[in-house]
Amino acid sequence: MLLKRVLFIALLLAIAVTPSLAQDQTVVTWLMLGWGGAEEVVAAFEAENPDIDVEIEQVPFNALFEQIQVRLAAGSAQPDVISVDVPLVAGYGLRGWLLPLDEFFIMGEQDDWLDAAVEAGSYNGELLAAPVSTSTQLLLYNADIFEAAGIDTPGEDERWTYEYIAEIAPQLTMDTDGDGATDSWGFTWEQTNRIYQLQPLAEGLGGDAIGEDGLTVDGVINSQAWIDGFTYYSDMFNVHMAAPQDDTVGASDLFASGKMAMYIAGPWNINRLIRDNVEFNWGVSRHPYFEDGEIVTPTGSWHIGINKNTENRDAAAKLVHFISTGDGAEMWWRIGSGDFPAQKSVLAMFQTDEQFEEAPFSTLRVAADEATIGAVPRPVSPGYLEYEQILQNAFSDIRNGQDVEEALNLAVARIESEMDKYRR
Amino acid sequence: MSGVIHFIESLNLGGKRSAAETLLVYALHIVVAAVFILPLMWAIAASFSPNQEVFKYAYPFSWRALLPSNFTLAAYENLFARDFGVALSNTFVLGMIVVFVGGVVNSMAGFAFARFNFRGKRLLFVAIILITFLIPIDLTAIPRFILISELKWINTWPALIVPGLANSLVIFLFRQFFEEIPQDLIDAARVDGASWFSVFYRIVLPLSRPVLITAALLMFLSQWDSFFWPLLVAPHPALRVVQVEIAISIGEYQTLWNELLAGSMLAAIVPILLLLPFQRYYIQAITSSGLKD
Repeated sequence: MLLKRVLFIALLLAIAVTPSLAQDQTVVTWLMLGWGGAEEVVAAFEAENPDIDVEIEQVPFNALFEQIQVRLAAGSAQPDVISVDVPLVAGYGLRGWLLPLDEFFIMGEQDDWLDAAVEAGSYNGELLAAPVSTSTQLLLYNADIFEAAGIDTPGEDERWTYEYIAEIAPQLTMDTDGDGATDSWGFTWEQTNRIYQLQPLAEGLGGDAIGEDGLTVDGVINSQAWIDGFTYYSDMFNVHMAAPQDDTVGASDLFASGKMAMYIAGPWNINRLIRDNVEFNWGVSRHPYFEDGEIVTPTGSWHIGINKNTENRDAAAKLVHFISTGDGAEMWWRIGSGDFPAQKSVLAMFQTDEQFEEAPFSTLRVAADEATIGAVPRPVSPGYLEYEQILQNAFSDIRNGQDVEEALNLAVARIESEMDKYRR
Repeated sequence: MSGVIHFIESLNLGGKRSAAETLLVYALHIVVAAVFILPLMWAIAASFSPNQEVFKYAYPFSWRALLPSNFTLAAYENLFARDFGVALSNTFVLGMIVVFVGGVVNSMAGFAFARFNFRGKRLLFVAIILITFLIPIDLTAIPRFILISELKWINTWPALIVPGLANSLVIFLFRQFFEEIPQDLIDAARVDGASWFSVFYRIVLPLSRPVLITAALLMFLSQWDSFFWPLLVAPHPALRVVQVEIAISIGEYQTLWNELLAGSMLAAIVPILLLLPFQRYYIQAITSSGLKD
C-alpha cells in the first residue's frame, strides 16, 4: 500500500515538474558556443517576447562547425538560429543553408553595423548572417621583461613598425635559468597558423587575400607582398630565434605565465589577464605596421543566422534582430559573449562608459578604438575552409624553416585544385 | 621498450642474474615506467593548479611541474559548478542501460550466429556484422541523423541509447565464444527437453562469464568515451555526456587547461575502477576468442 502511495505521489510530482509547454508557445533553438552569459540575455529576450521560448544548445568550439555541417546538410529544421563564424558565411550561402535577412531589418538599422562586418556577412548581395561581434588585435607586452632588458615600452597610442619589433625582439629573448635553452621569448603571434592573424603581413604590404572571384589564389598568395610579409614571419622564428617554433603551448598561455615579452593578440586576452590577476606588469599598444606599408588589422567574429528550413521563421527573426541590434546587442556584449560589439553605437560606449576610465580597463578603450582602424575582413570565399586549412599547413611549414616562396607556391597549387569544384 | 627488456631477460633464461644485470633491468623498467607515468603526474598536478600556472614549469619542462603550484581545488569546483555531476551521472546511466539491454540483444544475436543455421547467415554475418564495424561513424552520421530526426528523437534519451544497443564487435565476440562451447552440452540439454531459451539462459550464459564481462566493458567504455554522436543528437545541456562536458573547457580563445585535465582525471577514474577488478576476464576472453586488440 505504502509503495503504491509513494509511486502515486512520485508520478504527480513528475507531472508537476515536467516543463509545461503552453499550446501557443513557439520554441526556438539556437546553436552556439559555450558562452557563459547567454542564458541571461535570452531570458531578457523571452521577457520581451512571452510567446517565444529559446532553447540554447551549446557545443565546444571545434565541434560547432561539424554540427552545422551535419545538421544543415541533412535538411533538419533545427536548430532554428545559428551562431556563424563569419568567414563561413559564403560557404553556407553557396549551399543555400541560410535564410536571407534583409527584410527583417528596417531602414537605417544596418547602417549601425561596421562596414567590414556587413560585407563579410553578405553573399551575392544578400545579408545572410547579421553582425553580432567583431574583433581586433593589439600588441600586448610584459613590462617587467622590457625593464629587465632595458628597453622602453610602447605608449597606448603608439604604433610600432614590424621592423623595430624585429630589431628588439632578439634582445627580449632570454635564457633565464642559464641551461642553454631559451625559456623566455621576445615576440610572437597569438595564432601562429591562422590567416586571421597573419593576413596583415601580406595585406599591409599591398597584397590581397584572394582574387576578385573569391576563388583564384595564383598570383595572389604567391605575390611579392606575400613573399616579403612571410619572409618577415619566417625570420622571426628561424633567423632572430625570438619566437617559439613549437606551438604545443599556446602564445597566450606563455604570455600569461610570464614567458613572452610581447605578442600580437586579441582583446579577450585583456579580460583574461585582469581575471587571472597575473603577477607581472603589462600593457597594450597598437597593432604594428610595415614602415612603407599601410595599417592593416584583423577583424571579424561571430554573426547570427537563420536555418533556411526553420519552421519558426518569425520567432527566429525576432531573436536575430534582438541580438544584433540596439539594447539586445549591448546586452550581448556586456554579459553574453563579452566579444567586441559589431554595432558602432555599442562600440562607442567604450569611449563614454566610466568603467573604462582607469587602468587596466582603459586598455579595452584602446582596443575598441583599434577595431575601427584598418580593419580588413578575411577573404569571402565559398571555399574558405579549404583555403584556411591549406594555408595553416603552409604557415606551419614556413615556421619550421621551409623556403617561403616554395611553401606559398605549394599552397597555391593545393588551393587552386580545391577551388575547382566551386568553379563548375 | 618492453621488447628490449624481454631481450635482456631472455639472455639469462634459467640462470641467476648477476647484480649488474638486475640493476640494468630495473633501470630500464624505471625508464619505461617514467615515460608512462610522468605525463599523468603532470596532468594530476596541473589539475590542482590555477589555470595561469599550468605551464609555469611545464614549458620548458622542469621537475617542479610534477607538483601543483599554488595548490587549489578551483578546477574541480568550477567543473561541478557547471553541471559536471549531471554529465557524469547521465553517462553512467546511459552506459548501464546500453550494457544491460545491449547485452541481451548482442548475446542472443551472437548465439544465433554460433548455433543456428538459417538462410543468408553467412551473408548477414559478413556483410552486416563485419563490415559495419569497419565503417567509421562519421561516414554514416548524416543518414543516421536524418533517421533520428524523422523519428523526432532529437534531444531525447532514445537517440542516445538505441543506436548503441546493437554492437557488431560485441556480437562478433559472443559468436566466437559461443562456438567454443561443446555441442554435446547443448545437445544433452535439448534431449532432456530444454527449450532453446533455457539452453541459452541455463547452459550457455553461466559458462560465458569472461565474455559477458568483456562485452559489458566494451559496451560501457564505448558509451563512456562517446563524443560525436551524443553531441549531434542530444546537444541539450540536460542530456550532456561527460566527454562533451570536458570539451566545453576548450574555448574559442582560451583553453581552461586545469579544468580540462581535472575533468579528464575524473572521467578516467570510472573506467579504471571497472577495468582493474575484471582485467583477468577481459584478457581471457580476448585471447580465447582469437581477437587481438
